[in-house]
Amino acid sequence: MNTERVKNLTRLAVTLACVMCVGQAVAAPILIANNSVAESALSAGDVQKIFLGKTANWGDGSRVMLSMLKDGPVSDEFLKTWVKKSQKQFGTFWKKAVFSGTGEMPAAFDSEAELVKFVAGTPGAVGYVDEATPHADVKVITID
Amino acid sequence: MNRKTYLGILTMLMVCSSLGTTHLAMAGKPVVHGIISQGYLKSSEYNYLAPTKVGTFAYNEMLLNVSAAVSDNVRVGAQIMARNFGSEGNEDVVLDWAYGDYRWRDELGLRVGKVKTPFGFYNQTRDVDMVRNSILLPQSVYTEDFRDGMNAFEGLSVYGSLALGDAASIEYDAFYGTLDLDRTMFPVPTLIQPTLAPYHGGALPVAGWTSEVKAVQGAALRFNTPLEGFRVGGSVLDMQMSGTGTLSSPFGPFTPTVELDTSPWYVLSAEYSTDRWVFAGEFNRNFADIAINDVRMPTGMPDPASVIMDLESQDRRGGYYGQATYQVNDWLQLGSYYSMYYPDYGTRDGEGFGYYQRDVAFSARFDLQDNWLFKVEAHTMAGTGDVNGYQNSGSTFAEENWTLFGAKSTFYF
Repeated sequence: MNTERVKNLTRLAVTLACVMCVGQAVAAPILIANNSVAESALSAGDVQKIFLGKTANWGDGSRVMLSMLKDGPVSDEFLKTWVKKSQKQFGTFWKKAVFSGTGEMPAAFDSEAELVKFVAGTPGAVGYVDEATPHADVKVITID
Repeated sequence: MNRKTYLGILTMLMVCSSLGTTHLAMAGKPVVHGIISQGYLKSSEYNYLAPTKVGTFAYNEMLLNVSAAVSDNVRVGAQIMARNFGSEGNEDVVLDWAYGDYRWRDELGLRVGKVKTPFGFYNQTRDVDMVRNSILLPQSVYTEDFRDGMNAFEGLSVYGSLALGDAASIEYDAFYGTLDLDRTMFPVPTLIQPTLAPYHGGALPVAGWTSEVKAVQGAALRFNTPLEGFRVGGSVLDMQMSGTGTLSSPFGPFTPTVELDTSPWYVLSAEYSTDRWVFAGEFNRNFADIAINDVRMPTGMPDPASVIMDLESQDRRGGYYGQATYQVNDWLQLGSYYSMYYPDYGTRDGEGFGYYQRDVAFSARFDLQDNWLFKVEAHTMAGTGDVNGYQNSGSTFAEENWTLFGAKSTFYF
């Protein structure tokens, strides 16, 4: 095999590898809320407090209705990045709250579509989905 | 629990779990959750917490709770429980907690009713098997002896979370109230029998025991530090109670009265968690003063064979533990703890292995399904400081080193 052919094959392999990596990259999770929620932006600390139940009400006093995905890479990424907990740790945190009477479990969904439907139809609801998931009936909250 | 009841609850649990939506939290709609756990304990020597020397299945918990958000700031809820742990519980269905919760702001809320006592990091969930790796909580801090006095109080508490910038916060609870001890013999097996048994050659039959808690109060602080995953805390518990009943001694019956003041009991706690690891450690001390009045005591002489007198005792127990758990993968978690308990912290260096009890535990948790887990656990024990003479009458307490094996399965929804 001549040197030029080896170089071409190497370039092709590297290109294919880059394409595969890009193709497999998980889009960043986004925070979505019911259109009744007035907030359009939250700090990272606020997001963590909301999902750990330390903040139970929006600025207008209405109750935060938490929702979550039961598992999957979107959930893993969101919880790790913004709540600083793994999926399992997050679930355990809320089980402790439920059985000690200090909190209620977030509404949990198998699919992002179900979560979007819940957030769209529940005043005060907040959740997270992949940015590529259709979410026309909810508002996106930016995280500062 | 009889077999029919057990199978009925198990069936209900499996059906609810398969529905998958029992915990869907819709505003204002009641939400139901439940747990059923069954365990087995076996020790090589001594009955520890239960008749473990012969092996026992008298170790289970069933919990069922319902809660609802009735407004933007108010929640109500209640949890019933049936448990069995040796001679404790007897699967009587009791109210575990029930209260109204008004949350005015993140910094200030009020709970009124029967509330789980905030003490240490894990007391409020001590009966909730699936939120931890180990089967038994370290007994150096979470003693089963005092469970009925620590589990939940009836009264009111204030609580809140105070943000310290974006990266840290302080959480607090402060409470005042009383305890309902109608369904428990506390402190008879815990304090009375161990004090009197050495003089009477064993535990005495008891009839008509009643206890009254004059007051229980306490506070807990938790500091979530700027170091992500690291928190520290401190708790205090202060309780005053009295009790009376009739005990039958070989020399005749007598009706003692007991006065107890914990004055106070405190715990210091620390925990650090990463995505796979959790490290925790706690240290506690108790300073209870106990007066047992009108006690019939043998004189050792033929006449009089006994006298009525007053005794004073102290409960100065203390101890600490360090624990580590590691999440291997989605279904396997391993853990271990080193626990040291002293029945009298002031004499912990005394000679003899009744002055301490060291517990090195190894546990494995298997999450078989989303709502079903199984655990196995092995304890290597040294010392007999926490081995109750009341449960081991006739024992010479000659073995310093012994082991305890545990297995437990839990369903939840």
